[in-house]
Amino acid sequence: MIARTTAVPQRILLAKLGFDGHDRGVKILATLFREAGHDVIYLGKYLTVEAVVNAALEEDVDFVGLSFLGGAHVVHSAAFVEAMRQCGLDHVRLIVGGVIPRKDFSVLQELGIEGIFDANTPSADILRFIDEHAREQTTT
Amino acid sequence: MADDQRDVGHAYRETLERYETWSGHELKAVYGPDDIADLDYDRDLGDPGEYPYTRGIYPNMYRGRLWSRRQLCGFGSPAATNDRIHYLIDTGENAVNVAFDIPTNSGVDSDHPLAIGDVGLQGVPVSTIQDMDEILEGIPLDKVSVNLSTVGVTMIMAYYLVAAKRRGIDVSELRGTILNDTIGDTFCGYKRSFVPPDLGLKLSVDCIEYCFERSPKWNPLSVDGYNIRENGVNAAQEIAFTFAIAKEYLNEGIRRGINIDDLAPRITFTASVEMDFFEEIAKLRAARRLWARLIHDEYGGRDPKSLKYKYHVHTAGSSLTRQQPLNNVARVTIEALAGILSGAQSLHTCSYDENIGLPTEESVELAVRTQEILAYESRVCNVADPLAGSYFVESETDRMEAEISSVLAEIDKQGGMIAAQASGWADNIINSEALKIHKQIESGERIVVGVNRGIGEREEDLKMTAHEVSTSDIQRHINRLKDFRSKRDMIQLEPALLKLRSQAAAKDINLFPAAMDAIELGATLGEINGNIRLGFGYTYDDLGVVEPSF
Repeated sequence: MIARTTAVPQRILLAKLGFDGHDRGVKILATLFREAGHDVIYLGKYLTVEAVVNAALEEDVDFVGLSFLGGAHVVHSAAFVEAMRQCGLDHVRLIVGGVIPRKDFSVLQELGIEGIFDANTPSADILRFIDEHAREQTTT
Repeated sequence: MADDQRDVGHAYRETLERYETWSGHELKAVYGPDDIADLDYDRDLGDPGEYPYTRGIYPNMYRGRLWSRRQLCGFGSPAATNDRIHYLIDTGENAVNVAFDIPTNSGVDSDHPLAIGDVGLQGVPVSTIQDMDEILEGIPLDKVSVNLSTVGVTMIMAYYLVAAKRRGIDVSELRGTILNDTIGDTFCGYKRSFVPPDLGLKLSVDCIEYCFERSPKWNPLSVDGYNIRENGVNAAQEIAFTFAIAKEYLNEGIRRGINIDDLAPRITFTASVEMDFFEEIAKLRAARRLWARLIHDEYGGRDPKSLKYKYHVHTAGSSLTRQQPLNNVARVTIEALAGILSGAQSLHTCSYDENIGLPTEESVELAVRTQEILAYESRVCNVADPLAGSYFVESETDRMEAEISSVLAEIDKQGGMIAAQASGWADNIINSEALKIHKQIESGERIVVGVNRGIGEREEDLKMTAHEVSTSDIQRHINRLKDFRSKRDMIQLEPALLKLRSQAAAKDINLFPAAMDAIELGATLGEINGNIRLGFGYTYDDLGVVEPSF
């Protein structure tokens, strides 16, 4: 088990957008993030952009992680980034993971997504990303 | 360097740290006569083609007929999918396997407001009869066996039947399979299950009932173990879950008064084959024996056709790695060989680039060629059940049978598969097994080459591209659907849909005739499913977005 190195647990919202339901990976990550000491909300699957953005607002999260398998990662991520901006959630860090062709990494990076992790990425790499991009001061 | 020399010396004497099966069973170094002392040839094995069919369902196995080489295919628009199917047939595939996109597999139309972004991915969209017509264009439906790979959308079968009729094809000549496993659909996890179990059970059995007399060569239900396994269960659990699901359909069919010997032959299975060569072979040999005994002893089936466990093998997508993708060719070959040696009737081999994105034409062709090399060069098809009599294989077959039986008994205790799903019992098993496997990989306890052994990236691997779905094709498909909607004769269609709705409300009328009438008049998949849901007592759209127009 890998423990967090952040001063405070990060609040991480995980979700799947659209009709794709392949959730084996995201459910495992939810458990591993929790075991590392973070506060994790796994919102579920088949969700709309609005539902996930609203939850991110209400739960005051530090990270949102979106999981994809079926090839809809660019369309859904773009809509999500746009909706986050409109809600003033610019401080929330975005993680996108799953079956993501390498050539789409730059497309997602241009959208402002910093954490992009394709299939079979060791969870240690994703946890390190969270440690390095943590919001240390909680907003009180 | 001293260090290097020590490493080389160590490598020379390398041993594995663990001797467990994929499912975690500790094995001995050697098996011998004592391990199969209780084995009675006639009782437990029988010749191939003889009860209890442990050695295969046909006396001469692949000498009688090679397995169907059936590559899952579907993406982009119906026209693009039709092109790829023709390409696969020209390449050497001898059967067709159509995958549907996630909105279609969730029972909604391509223009559903929430479907944006998912149309034409992971499969082909079917919203209307013109989509089905186009997918099947030029394919001789009375000669080629077609698999309709939809687990939860029974009514895809109605579209297929209407398409065949419109082309003047005698439906009694149709050969193929629809998965139609609405109970399994709630476990498969990869897409939304839009029919609750009570409605699902009704629709699945309606399909069996409608097809078994009219299209006797058609398999109207294939219980889907593949997707359950992909979600994380072990080998024995996979088979036990599928048998428990099959029992739900059998019980419903019997409740309707269908004879077990009319019912059981119509049920086939889709199995996963993972990387543990012998455990997977033993699993499927055990499944055959157990199914024969289950139908014979528990259900009183007597027709040999009822007792035969027929199955399609799908090599395990989750065993593939994004790292060093060409390694996946070796994995798929090992899994496919295990599937063949187990006696499968049909086989899909995964493409090596599936963890990168949608497979390219080249990678799909390589997957077909892998099957051809196994079929024509390896000589493994010459002899039926060549592993029979091996102390180890027979002992493993016995062990798998015992483990499957024990999980099955546990599910029976839960009140059957539907109850075990509703209580969360089944999901707990799936999730905890998936987590356990993942942790074993991350700790290095479970070796995966390229992930925790033999690690190293090649520049070329990172540059590999996936097949691109044409967004303009998909937009054209959606526009065409809107155009199709506007040109329908609603004066005829509306009563047809209302009839379907009221028959669904009656609950004991087979919905296929009414659905097929409405499909011929232009009903969309979303309208068919919506009206059935509404009649049965659920909301029109389970996503709560689309409202019925009347």
